Amino acid sequence: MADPAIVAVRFLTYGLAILLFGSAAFAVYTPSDGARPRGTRLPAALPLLLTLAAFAYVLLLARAASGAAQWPGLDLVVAIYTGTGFGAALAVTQAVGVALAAPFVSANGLRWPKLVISAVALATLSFVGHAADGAGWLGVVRLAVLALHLLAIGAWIGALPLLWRALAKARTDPILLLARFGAIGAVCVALVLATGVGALAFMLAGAHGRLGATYTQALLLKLAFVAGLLCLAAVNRFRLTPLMARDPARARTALRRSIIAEQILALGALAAVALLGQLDPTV
Amino acid sequence: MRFHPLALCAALALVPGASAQAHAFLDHADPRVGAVVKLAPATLHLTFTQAVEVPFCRVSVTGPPGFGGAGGVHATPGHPETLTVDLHGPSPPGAYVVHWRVLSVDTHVTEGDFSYQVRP
Repeated sequence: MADPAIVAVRFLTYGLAILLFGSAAFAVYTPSDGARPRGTRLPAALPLLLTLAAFAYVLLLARAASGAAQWPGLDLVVAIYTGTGFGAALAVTQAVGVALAAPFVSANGLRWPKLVISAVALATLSFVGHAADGAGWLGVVRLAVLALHLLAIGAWIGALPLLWRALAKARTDPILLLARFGAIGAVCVALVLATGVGALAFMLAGAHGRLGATYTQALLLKLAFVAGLLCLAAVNRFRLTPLMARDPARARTALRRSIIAEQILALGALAAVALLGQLDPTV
Repeated sequence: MRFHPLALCAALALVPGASAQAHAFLDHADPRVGAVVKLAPATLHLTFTQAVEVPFCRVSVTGPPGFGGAGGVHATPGHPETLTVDLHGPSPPGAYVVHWRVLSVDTHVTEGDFSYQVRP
């Protein structure tokens, strides 16, 4: 039985890491030269929220490890950080949150450093879950596949809130913006699908080809959300983006609505992923 | 040549390291689950379906009157999925129940128990 508190904090940790990496990627591939107006940034508190979410994750895992109903002592929490791979990974995530919130980093500029350290935070989360149980070189491949999966999701889905905000600004050059986002998005979608198949293959192999009913239901739910996302992405790319040249006002409105729908579907997929990470694949 | 995704799964299943279970369950133990042994063991070995975080693993053993109880839980060098448990003092004939609770490397906590008997 999955612990709802751990599922919730997993949802928050992954969601915030995806959002932070996506916004850092967005700032890199849409420099402020007309494609994206200045001031299109996320609230400064989000990196600290990631730190808090990752800390709460550690606390909940320490409590689960102790088997006690009360909160764990400091020694147990420290032991999780220093004695487990997933504890070390969450420590890295927390440190990245603090670094991104630092005033000299959170200000405008430093786009590439922000991209690199937020990528580290997101990729490191591949150690916190099923992918960490591999062994040998294949275990390394499994972790790499998941890390790439997370980064591709982040660069695509994590950038949607800023794309939505940028499209609302009159100074934005929407055609240039969509051309850049479309090119990156196409690569990301291809990577998400390829690495998603790889991650599923590892999971199926681990379960000897027999996924349990509960796990399968959650997986199908996730795939349904992903299918919806892909459909909307196709509509945006092949219908609404060309419309921008002919009827910009209508295209902007339709695109922003579509992006909101994409974000809702992405939240659904993320919730399913948070649950999947806590389920035994054979049950 | 056509590629089938299931072929990838099958290939991965055949490669060592790919066959983890995602939750740590007892795969086998020494003494074996339900075994009747003539000589009381000085140590127990519990092997799980995936690697475990030893500092967070607990094993308790209950036995007949006079049993010295279980000692510390140790890692088994080269086998991150196996726990070694020292048994203290005398292990008189009778039934023993081993209760385990482990934290797997992928964050999941599982528990269970098994029994064995010492019958010289």
